[in-house]
Amino acid sequence: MSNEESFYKKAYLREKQARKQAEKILEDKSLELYNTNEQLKFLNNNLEVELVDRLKQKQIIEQEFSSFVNKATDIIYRLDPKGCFTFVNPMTELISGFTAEEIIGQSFTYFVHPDDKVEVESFYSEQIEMQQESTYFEYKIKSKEGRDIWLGQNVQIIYKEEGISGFIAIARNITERKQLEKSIIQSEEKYRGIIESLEFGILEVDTKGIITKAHSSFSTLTGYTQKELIGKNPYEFLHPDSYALMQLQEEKRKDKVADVYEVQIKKKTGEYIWVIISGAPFYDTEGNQTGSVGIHLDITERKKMEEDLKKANEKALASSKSKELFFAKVSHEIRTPLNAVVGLTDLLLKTDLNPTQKKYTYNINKSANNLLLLVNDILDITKIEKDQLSINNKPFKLKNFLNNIHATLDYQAQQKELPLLISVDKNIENHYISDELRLTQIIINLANNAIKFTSIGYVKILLELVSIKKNQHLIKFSVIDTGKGIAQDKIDKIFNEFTQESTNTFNTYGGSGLGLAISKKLVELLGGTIQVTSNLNKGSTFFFTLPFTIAEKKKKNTKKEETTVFTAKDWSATKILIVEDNPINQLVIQETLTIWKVQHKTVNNGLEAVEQIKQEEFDIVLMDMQMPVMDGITATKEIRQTLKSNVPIIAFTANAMKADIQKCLEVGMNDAITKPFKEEELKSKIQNLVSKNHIIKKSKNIKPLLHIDKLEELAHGNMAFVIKMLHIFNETSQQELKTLSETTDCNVISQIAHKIKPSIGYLSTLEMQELVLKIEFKEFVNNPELLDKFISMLKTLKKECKNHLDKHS
Amino acid sequence: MKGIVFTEFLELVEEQFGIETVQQIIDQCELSTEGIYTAVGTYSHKDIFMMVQKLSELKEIPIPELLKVYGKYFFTVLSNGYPQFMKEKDLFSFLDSIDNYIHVEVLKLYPDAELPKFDSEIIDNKMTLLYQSTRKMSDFAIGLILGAAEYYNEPNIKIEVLKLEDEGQKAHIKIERFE
Repeated sequence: MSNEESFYKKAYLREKQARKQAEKILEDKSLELYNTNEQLKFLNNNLEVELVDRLKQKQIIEQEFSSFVNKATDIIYRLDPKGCFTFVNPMTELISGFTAEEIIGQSFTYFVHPDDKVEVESFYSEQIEMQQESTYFEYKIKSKEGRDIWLGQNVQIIYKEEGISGFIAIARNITERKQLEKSIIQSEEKYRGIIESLEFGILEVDTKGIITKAHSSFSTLTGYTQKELIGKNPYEFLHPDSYALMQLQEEKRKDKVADVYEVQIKKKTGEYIWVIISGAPFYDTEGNQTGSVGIHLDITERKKMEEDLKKANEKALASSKSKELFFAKVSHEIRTPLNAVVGLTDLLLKTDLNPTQKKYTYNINKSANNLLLLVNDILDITKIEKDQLSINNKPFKLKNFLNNIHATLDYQAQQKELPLLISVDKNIENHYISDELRLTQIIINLANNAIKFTSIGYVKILLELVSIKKNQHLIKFSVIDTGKGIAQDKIDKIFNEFTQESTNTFNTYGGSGLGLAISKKLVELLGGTIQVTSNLNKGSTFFFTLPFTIAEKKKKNTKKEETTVFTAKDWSATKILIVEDNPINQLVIQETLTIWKVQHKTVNNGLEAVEQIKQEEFDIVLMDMQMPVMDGITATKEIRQTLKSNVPIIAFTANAMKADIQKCLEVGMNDAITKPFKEEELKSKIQNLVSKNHIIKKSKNIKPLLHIDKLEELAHGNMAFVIKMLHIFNETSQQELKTLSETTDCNVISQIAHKIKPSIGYLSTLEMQELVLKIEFKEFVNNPELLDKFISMLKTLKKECKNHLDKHS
Repeated sequence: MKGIVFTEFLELVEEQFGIETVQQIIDQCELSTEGIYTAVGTYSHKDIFMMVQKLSELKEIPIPELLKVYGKYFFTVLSNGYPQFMKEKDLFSFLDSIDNYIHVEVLKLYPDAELPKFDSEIIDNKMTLLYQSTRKMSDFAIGLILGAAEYYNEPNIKIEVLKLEDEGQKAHIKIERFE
């Protein structure tokens, strides 16, 4: 075999092996391909299942989404790139009123309200131009029914490769909100308008009181510009007189209190004006006070008017006061001479007169009495008209009250030979609370009339118990006469002022015509109604019912008082001091007292009275009020405070005003009587006071203050020692009593009590021992009657001591 | 390295120098396959180097020269075998498409192939190519370019290696057309 042959053989073998190698590679590749194919097939199948799945899911999501879009409470729609509707949800139909068919294909701007069209178009062209993906805009559409509907709309641009593929919009009906906004704005404007037109100056301050906001209205009010106000302290504009009030208000505002107050502020012109400020704190959302707002209203005019009114009122009051004073003065001026006329003619009638003189004198006396009644009635009606007449309820005794009435009317009734009968229901008590004075006035008025208009028959005062309610008795008072009666057509007018049954009445019977009017008013004031029944020529009955509260009885005195009133007394031992400057009045009183056989002394003024009382003891002082040198009030004060005398004082006054009587009682007088006095009235008043004093005197005898048993015990039978001790006490107590009557220094009084205390311990009762201790501890400062009682007891003790010494010396 | 490189090399040697030289190369080289190659297989690139070096010794022709010749020859094999890659109309466009298109497609068929990288830049009638390969076979690449020039009938070109870097792993090649 040649070389070449062997080379080819080798090459052939290599090729064979290379082929096998290649076949192997191909087989491997083919297997690999098969496997890959199988895998691909599997993937393909899987892909189909997955695709179906995904499609299903997508459908579900689409359904959900579509349901969401359909059920959405907002408008949802889609536009093509030209702005025409391609989809709308049901809400779009509901809100716009158009059906989907009507909307689809229409241009978006077709539904926009004509007013908003330009604005809406420009807004959305800008969105497209600026490539803003999403925008929000509010505008109106016109619904199919023509309503304006506000929409708040979100628009999203949808981009695809080739550019804008459309728009998706979600819009909400905000009509209600817009209307609310509008109404809020309107209301704000309305109130701003109101506030501005109301001339309220509004100012806001922070919590430090610095001005933070000044409304133009405040500038108008004060003349300051906003610049001049903001940052300033309001005190700069405040009148110094208003500082304190302002501070008070600031404190109040801190406590969350809103208030209204009036201050003076200074205008830019320098002029001060009065403003009323309504200040209120205001708060942030967390409730912290952030400042206050003050509404200022110019009230300068009102203030001026108030001032004028105040002055006018003061003037009116002054004039009213002077009117009252005038009445008091006139009544005094009239009463004083009348006192003389009545009193002197009374006296004159008791002297020997020939029949003509007696007749004249009687007529003078009667006329003067009538005039007096008239003056009193006018005074009363004046007070009633001015509502000045007040009711003064006090405990009183019915029997005393009826006795007084009887005493007052008896003389008149006797003159006409008419029996005056007083009949009282046996169930009626004796002690009641009412205004005795007014009640007396009513009954006397009615009974006076009854006597006046009755010629034959009787006059009867009837008291009946109507009902009992707890401690209240309802009592019916009737004044019955058998007189001429009142015509039916006049009966209604009988209680009117200045009305009498006929003009004839005055001519025949006299009278002011005020009596019944006054009685009616008084009954009403006491809580009742006066009524009348009458038969012409047969008689009249005036009656009224009043409630009375039962007063607690003072059993001890009941019987005695009754007897004292009814017992005619021997007054020869009674000593009366007459204090009166008018000689005629002096004469009248003197003569009256002389007839009653009373001892009396007369002085001309208060000072003389004080001097006289120092020297001499009296049972009663009759004290005139208006006197030269020293008046009655001053004299009484002097007697009570300086002399420390308890002598009963009856004010003798021409002033019938209640206030005057009140004043008399306040300074320590015991009673008051109006001039010209009625003999009976004076008599009963004197009698009351004398008997009271009598009882006190009597009671002293029953309970002696002097007890010498302790002293005797101490003396162990040494009577000389007892006498000596009593002498010492007699002398020292006289000295102490003198000091006590002169001093008002409570320290001095206390020292005296301290000094005298041991003697009282030996000589007197437990009551007086306690009393002297109270005086030492100055309890009399708050309780002045303690001192009066002490002095009185000390005097008695001294007297008893003296008596004892007189008896044993 | 793909088997076609080996089979076509031995084909070319047999054609140019006779079967005896083929036998000599196979006998004198310690080849991993004892000279058995198939175009669809994949073999160690060391085998081709050994065979090129042996040929250079036997025939006293420098290795670069041999590689250029083989490159030029191999291009005709490729262009005949894979006409789908010969879409480009001229040389520069074709060279530009190697990295961007041809090698992308090759990797789809042979995912494990280790291909050289060609970054290209064309300025007027000049092109620069940056060859990058761990095989350091820039000469083989130049032979291929020459084959392409012939394919596109562009004889008036000048190929120049401007710079070698990393022991031949990188080669800056300039191709210039001239009239």
